Amino acid sequence: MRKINGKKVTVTILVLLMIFLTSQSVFAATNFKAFSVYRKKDSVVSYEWHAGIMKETDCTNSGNSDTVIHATSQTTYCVDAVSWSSYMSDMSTIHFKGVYRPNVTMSSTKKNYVVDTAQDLASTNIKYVLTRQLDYDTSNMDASKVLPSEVKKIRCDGVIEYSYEYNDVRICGPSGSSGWNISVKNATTYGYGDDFTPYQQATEFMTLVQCEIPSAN
Amino acid sequence: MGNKKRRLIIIAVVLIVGITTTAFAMPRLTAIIQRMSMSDSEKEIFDDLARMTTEEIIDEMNTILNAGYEDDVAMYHAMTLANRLDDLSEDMLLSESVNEENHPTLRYTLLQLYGEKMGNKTDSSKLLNIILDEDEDSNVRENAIYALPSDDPEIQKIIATAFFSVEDEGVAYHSLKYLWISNSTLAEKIADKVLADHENYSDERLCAAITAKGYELFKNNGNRTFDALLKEKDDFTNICIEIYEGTAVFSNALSEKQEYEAWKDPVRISANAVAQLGSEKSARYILDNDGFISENKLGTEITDYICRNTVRANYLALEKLAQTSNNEDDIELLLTATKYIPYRKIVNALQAKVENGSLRGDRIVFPPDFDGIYAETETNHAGVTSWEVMR
Repeated sequence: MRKINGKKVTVTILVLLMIFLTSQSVFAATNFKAFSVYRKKDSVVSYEWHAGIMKETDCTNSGNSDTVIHATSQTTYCVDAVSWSSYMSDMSTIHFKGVYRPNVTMSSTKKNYVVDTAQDLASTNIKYVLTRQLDYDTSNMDASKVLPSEVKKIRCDGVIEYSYEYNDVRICGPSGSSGWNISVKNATTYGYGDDFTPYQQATEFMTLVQCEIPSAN
Repeated sequence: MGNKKRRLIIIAVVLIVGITTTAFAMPRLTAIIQRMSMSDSEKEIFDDLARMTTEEIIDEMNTILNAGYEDDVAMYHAMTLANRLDDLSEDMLLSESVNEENHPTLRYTLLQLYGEKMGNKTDSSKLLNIILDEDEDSNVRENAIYALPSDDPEIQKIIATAFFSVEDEGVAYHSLKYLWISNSTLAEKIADKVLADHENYSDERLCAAITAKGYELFKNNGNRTFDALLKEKDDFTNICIEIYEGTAVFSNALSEKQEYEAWKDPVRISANAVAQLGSEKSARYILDNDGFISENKLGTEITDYICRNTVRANYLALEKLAQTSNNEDDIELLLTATKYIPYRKIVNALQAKVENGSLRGDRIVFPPDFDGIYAETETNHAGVTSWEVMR
């Protein structure tokens, strides 16, 4: 009979245990709050993605409570906090495209700030716009922050961009120390929104966290 | 000709028109869908659209939207129109936006583009006709409001009157929103009038008034003394809570969730007016455990939100306190602040007190979701020390 090498067995068990514990800790630590979620319908264009921002840590433990904040073309209060099932309604034709995060790390405090800002957008009646991410009064470009109640029109990817950048988490825009923050009254940031789409926002300017839905399990 | 025969002819004509329309429209829609779905990239979609005339793009938008697709599907067409804004005539934009044969989404998109192209030089009389026409589509009317010049006092007066006179609640809301953006003093006067008589106003008009008042307190609080602002804020918050609790005020127009959203946020905006003052006194007002937090009837979520904003906005005053004071009340205030945002310098100052024995270590409590990363003072792109100063 072959002699069992106790040392090798111990090392193997320890390695397996470490792998197991590491994988468990990764799952346990997964917190999707303030991450962006994208979905698309089985409609005309493969690139027609729709963006939302996670208000909760995941989509499974919150039941029917508000989980995602997003903007749709509904006529009143276009920015709204909705349940996961509402965000993913009509599952037969909606495909989840992934969880994305900004390219910089956000602390838990920063995540709270981002969700607070998205919630602020949901509390005021904003019109939907197809041609740009965001619209506000441009008569005074004094480099001050555009308050949520000053936003006149917004698109789904505008909710994402504004909520992050209002809290100094850069998503995209001209490089350098200024000119990228869409929440600041500035001719450059006001203009650059024209060339972006939700698909581009996710795939070119953010980091894919996972393709699966943001479930805790 | 007998009635029966006439009826048969009418039915036949309707059928022929229907079949013909469907036969021509379906291949057109199919062709558009095929072209867009077979594109290898968004650039290809934009390139295809760039080769089309404006009339063709508008026609395709109508075809897609009338077929019942989500509005977002028309995004590429709308963005292509925006990209050639300089070449679009203002007459075309305005006439097509009032053309009722166009889909409402196309109409409001053209109206938005018209406003963008013309700035403060839009034809206000034509826009006012749209806004005041109760038979017009609500979405088109609301978008027409934002196409109005923002610097004309006469137009502002007309919109102020419209807030009270129009039947459409959404148009009323956006009328006041237009004012709080363009003339917040006038908006506040209207808001005061509505709040003083709030039982006689609709839900949507009350929501607008509360937001307008909160906005003015928040934005232009520099003209008031702290005590005056505090009193005004208290009065305002009391009215908000009175309305919030008086469920009889609400009709079925708003869902329960909308009700909650509509009322809690203006209240937190008003509390933020105090929070944003950037003084130790305002921090104490909000963070005092015996005061605002225990009295707040609007739930943990709002309390957490307001307290976070208070700590954030008053960070400099709190940090100074952390460095200089050993007073028990002050330490209590700093401990409360740390429960909401664990700023590194404040935590360090508190831990120094633990080390010298003047504070028990277990009294320092962090937010429930704290990940070990302390908050730092933020510097904004414009070089202002703390970006909260700009809020």
